[in-house]
Amino acid sequence: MSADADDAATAALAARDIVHAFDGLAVLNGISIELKRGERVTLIGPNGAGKTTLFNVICGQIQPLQGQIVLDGNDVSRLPVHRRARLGIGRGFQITNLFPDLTVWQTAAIAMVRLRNEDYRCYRPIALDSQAREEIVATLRDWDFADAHGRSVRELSYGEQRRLDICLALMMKPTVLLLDEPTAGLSTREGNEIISLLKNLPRQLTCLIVTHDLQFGFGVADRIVGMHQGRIVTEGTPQEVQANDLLRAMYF
Amino acid sequence: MKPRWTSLLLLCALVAIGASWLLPFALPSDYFVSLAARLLALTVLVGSFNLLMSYLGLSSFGHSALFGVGAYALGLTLLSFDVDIGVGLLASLAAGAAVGAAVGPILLRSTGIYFLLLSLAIGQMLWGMADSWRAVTGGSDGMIIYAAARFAGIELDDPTTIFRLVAIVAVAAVLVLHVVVHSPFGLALRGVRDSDLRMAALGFDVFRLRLFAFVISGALAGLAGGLFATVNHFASPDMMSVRLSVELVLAVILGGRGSFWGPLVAAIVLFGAQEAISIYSTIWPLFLGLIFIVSVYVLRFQLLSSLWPKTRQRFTTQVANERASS
Amino acid sequence: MMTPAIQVFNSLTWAMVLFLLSAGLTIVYGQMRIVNLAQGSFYLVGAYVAISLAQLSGSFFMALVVGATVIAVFGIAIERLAIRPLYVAPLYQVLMTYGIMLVLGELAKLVWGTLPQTLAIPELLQGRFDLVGITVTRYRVAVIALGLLIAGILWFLHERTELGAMLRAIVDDRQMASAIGVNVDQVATLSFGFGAFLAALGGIAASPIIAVYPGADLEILLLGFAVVIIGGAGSLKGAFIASLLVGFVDVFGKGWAPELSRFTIFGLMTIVLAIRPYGLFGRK
Repeated sequence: MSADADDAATAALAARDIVHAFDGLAVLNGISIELKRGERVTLIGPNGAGKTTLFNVICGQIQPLQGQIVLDGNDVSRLPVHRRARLGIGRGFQITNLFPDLTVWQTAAIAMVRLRNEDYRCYRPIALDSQAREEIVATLRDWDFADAHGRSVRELSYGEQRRLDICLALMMKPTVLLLDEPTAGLSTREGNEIISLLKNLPRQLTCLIVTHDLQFGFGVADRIVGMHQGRIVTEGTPQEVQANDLLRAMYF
Repeated sequence: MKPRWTSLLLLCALVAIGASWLLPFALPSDYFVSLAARLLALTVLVGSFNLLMSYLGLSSFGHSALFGVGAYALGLTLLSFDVDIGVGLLASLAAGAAVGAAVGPILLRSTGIYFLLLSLAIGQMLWGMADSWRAVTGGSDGMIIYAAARFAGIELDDPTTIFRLVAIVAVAAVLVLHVVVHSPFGLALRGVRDSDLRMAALGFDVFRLRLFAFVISGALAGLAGGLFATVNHFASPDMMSVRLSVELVLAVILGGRGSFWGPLVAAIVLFGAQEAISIYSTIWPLFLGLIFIVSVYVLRFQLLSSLWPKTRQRFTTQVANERASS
Repeated sequence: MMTPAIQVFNSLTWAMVLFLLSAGLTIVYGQMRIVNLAQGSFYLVGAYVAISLAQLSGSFFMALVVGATVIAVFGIAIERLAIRPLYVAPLYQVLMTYGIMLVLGELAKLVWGTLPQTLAIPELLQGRFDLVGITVTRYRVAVIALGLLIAGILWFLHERTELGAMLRAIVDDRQMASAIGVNVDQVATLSFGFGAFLAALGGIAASPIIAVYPGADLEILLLGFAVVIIGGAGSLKGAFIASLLVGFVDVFGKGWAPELSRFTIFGLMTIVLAIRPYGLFGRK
């Protein structure tokens, strides 16, 4: 077997037989999902299907009752959140989890600190490191925050915060990106900004996106996975799924 | 820019030290010189606490315990060995760091009300140790540090000399705090304060960051205790009281939570007032209580949110996330 | 003669006193999400007030009931004036209660002095008798009975009445409870007052056995906190069980090694929190 075939065979991300319940209420019922490298998968399903819980399990925020998470062939099921993040899992949050009392610049700077492994450097502010400064400025310019350096995150519009949230996740150069409802609550214009951002993602980046916006979901996905009551109920390419009666029943 | 920034900082430090050198000449008596030295020590204590409260978002109600630990460490060192006071102060620093390192792993795993109550309980436990362990600490009578103190050959036998030493160390401590707060580590702390969930998702080891900060804070609090004991030649369980711990919280709130210099200024004002009132009456606690009540009324339109709404928000977010998918 | 049997008995008594104080703490936290640092003051002032009332009227029971009620009313007044009007973060409300604790402590010192005082046991409850082979004092039995009675009443109210259902709804989700018509503010005020009542009751009940003195407010408050942490903030069941645990550990701990008594409580807390980070029955 050639190295390429091996590469293709190892899933970038795999969740196997995940079972989880809250207060006796089953949320994930032995669900399994696998993503190949570079694959874009959209996860759809009604509220309560368990999509965010699945995300939380994959990231490590929740320890499932049963099941495994495998990242690039490595079992990460026992690892804490930050370890998994360092191994390549990136995440955009549904309810924005940014830093309200920091500025846009400081937010990007924090990502830079982590990238350069300077978490514990307690001398010499980042502002003095000209190389780091340039990188931050360049990144913020790329994401259209060029004139927003000094604005505190609290002041940003909801759309800007979502954009910053996703960009923050991208800044860590993840191999797998999980996005939870990236366009929810956004105006059409803001939503299109996010969509074009996502369209320009590096091809090797594996994405798992939860969305209720079917147009967006179908547009960006290689594969659609439909969840309901903690199980996968349908799966396929956008065309296949669109034709599926079950899906129509769920949404239309 | 680098040369300018660091030299500006050093310049300020030198100016501060110069000012403190001259200060004793401006004060009417030795009592005021000692008072000034004590206030400087307390300011360092507030600074160490501010690191936790403003930059980590942790309002511990047991921080004064580290203050006392440092004082006793100094006393024990000077009484047991014939050493330079510098060694004693290093012992204070180390003791504060050690207790912080020992207590941190337990305390930092809790949040919200559990953190508050546990920090208070731990502080009280250490107080209890100091109060009843007569053999080591002198119990409730306290520990008189009657050893003659010297620093680099200079005898520390008058308040002015002691004050100058305390001033140098205090300025250095504040300088260290300033550098730490404005470093990448300091930025990471603020990130943890604002959203530890996000920080973990970015790959930061939140627990270890908090522990590191806690140890630094403990070390500086211990150092402050050592300085205080140097001035008073005395260490007592009173230095570890709940009241002092809560006064630290008040100093930060009055000075402005999230600010670096505000709490330091507030410390001088608050503890200065305490000293002034305590001369005339023993009911300082009554005044302090009134200050608490009035401050909360007046400051209720605080812009910066506090620990609990964020913790509550985070848990509400988690619960909402969980409920949304269940 | 401190035989283990007598220590067990004393532990039970102490546990009941702790329960009275902690029940109030945990109810207020569950309802209002604040830690009432003045709870110890209600304990202290309640005892002092009862002592004065008993001296004036000669009746223990009158002092007990009236004293606790006075503190309850006082608690309601504080809640209305100092706590409710402030829509501030819980941390600041906690500091407010600390300020109240300081003020009350100093005022109590001014009014009642600094010497420890005790309440006289009424004739009805004096004397000893034999119970399961050991000699116990009537009074301590009465205190245990009082504690169990209150626990029973609280359980009944909490689990079996509409009021209890409201309380539980508020603990679960304050906003939601408000949305479905529960008057959360009124419930908060009543809870606070009731908590004060219980604390005072505990203080008065304890004062014949344990003298009241300046500083007792902080001492009992810390034990109350230990109970709330161990039992789980907001849980009455937790408060009851934890009171027993802390009561026993405290009495036995003081018996074996008085200098380490705080350590033993802290050790208990650490162990519990290591297994259950939110206390035995706490959540969130």
